[in-house]
Amino acid sequence: VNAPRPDPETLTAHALGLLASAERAAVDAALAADPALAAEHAEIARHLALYEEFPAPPEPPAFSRVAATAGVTHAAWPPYWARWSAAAAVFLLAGAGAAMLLPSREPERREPLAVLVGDHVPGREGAGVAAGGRVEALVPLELRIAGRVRVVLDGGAGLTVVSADEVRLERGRAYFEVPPGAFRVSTPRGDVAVLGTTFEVDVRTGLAVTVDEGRVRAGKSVVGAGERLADGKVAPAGEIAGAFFRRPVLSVEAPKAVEPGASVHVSLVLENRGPTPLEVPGPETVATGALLSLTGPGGQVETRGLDFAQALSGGFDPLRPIVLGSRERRVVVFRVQVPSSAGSWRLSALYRPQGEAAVASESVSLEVR
Amino acid sequence: VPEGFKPGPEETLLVEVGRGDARAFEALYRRFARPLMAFLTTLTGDATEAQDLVQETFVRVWRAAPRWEARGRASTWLFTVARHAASNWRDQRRVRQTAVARAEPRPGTTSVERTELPAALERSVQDLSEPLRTAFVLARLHGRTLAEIAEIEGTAEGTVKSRLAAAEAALRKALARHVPPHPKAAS
Repeated sequence: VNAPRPDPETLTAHALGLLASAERAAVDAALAADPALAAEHAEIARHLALYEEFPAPPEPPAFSRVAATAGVTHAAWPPYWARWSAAAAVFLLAGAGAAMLLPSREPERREPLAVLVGDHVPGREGAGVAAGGRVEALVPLELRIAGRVRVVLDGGAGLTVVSADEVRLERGRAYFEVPPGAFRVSTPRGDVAVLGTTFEVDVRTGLAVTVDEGRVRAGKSVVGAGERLADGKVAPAGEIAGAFFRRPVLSVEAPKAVEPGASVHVSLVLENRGPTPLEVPGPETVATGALLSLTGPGGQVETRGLDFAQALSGGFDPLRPIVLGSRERRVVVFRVQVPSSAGSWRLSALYRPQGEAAVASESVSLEVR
Repeated sequence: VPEGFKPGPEETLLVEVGRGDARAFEALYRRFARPLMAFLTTLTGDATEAQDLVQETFVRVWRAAPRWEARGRASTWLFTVARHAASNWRDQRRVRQTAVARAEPRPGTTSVERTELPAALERSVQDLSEPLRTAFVLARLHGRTLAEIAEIEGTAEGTVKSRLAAAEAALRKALARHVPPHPKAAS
């Protein structure tokens, strides 16, 4: 019985050992029956055998380098500590609050001053930071202090929670949203006193303070909305490349009411109408809700349940910042828990322009479905 | 879910990584860093870029592992993540180097100490188009199955077979002088 002659694709797959047993047996039979085919197969096999000599790859990078970039603490730490801190992607260092920071088998006896916000890494959500506790952010992350102050730490920033009304920014850059009431950011290069505002403090090269809303006092200088203090001088801020900015972008009436606490999807159309690229932070801040914050009639809406599958289908890589080219539109879908959907919603976006030139405007539309 | 699939040690490891276990992450790295380095070096033709991409792959793995479900091979998922990382790198490079038709490998990627055959093998693989190169490297150098390659590439198994045959034919032609003569032809 003549076996059917396999096509070249099947012959190659056979030589590579990729065929399932039935198909492999059929090809074996064909090879046995057809010397020309067997010669052809042998030539493929001889060619493929050459790859035993394929050059060995260079060494991969050291694990420590990868772990540091990923925000994983050193694995030599005790497992419970390593698990907690690796998941948190932060180091919470010793001091009076250290005991509060370790996962405890017993219920905590007092509320921490601040909590880490974010559910993109298990074990991280709600981790407490007590007075004197220090946070070193290897990736951007969000901290809520005393339930009222929102701090978005940039990757590389180091901050100590001194009290409910004061933090010390030792290193890097952080963005603050402070509701009315006293708050102080002390830094090695001077203090910033706040009376309800949103602003950024950067101590990477000297003290730089950029104010979005309200006013702050930094040393002898008063910095107002839209202004920036750098090198001891206050000037219009413009939009500094790489700096965080939050802008209210939309106020809408919810199209229909849903039950409080219900999970609904919110489709957002991001459009960069400006002449330069617009970068919004990556998934770390998406996951913490810092990217887009929604305020509904029931208060702040948690936007941490980003639907990654749908976001991906919208062309987003959840592990990279979202970059919108000039005139580009993208759609992203959030799944949010709503306290109530009736009434007005206010949406603001946190973003970092890439270039020196200002972004002219952006628009976001919201749809509850 | 592949037929007859049962989670093995590598899948268990990845689940542990998803729970934030740093030791599991290190074990996963020890297991897969070299294969992925080999894969990405061949894909990019650039050892330095490949190192960066290995790093990026594992950063992505660490962050995305909580969402991974043990319904397939961990190794397939890791190669898929690496593949996407390389794809992004390629897109960015295309933007950066629109005037350069093909990036030359950096020093260190090819070594003058290497014998002629390994260098020729590496060169010929680099000359393949990316889809052919990826399929061939995964099949021949990493022992991936048709189904796994199809999953990594996001394409059909039939397409993978076609690419493998095309790659093999192109490579055999390029390496003709290195292929040992047929025993009958030699005698």
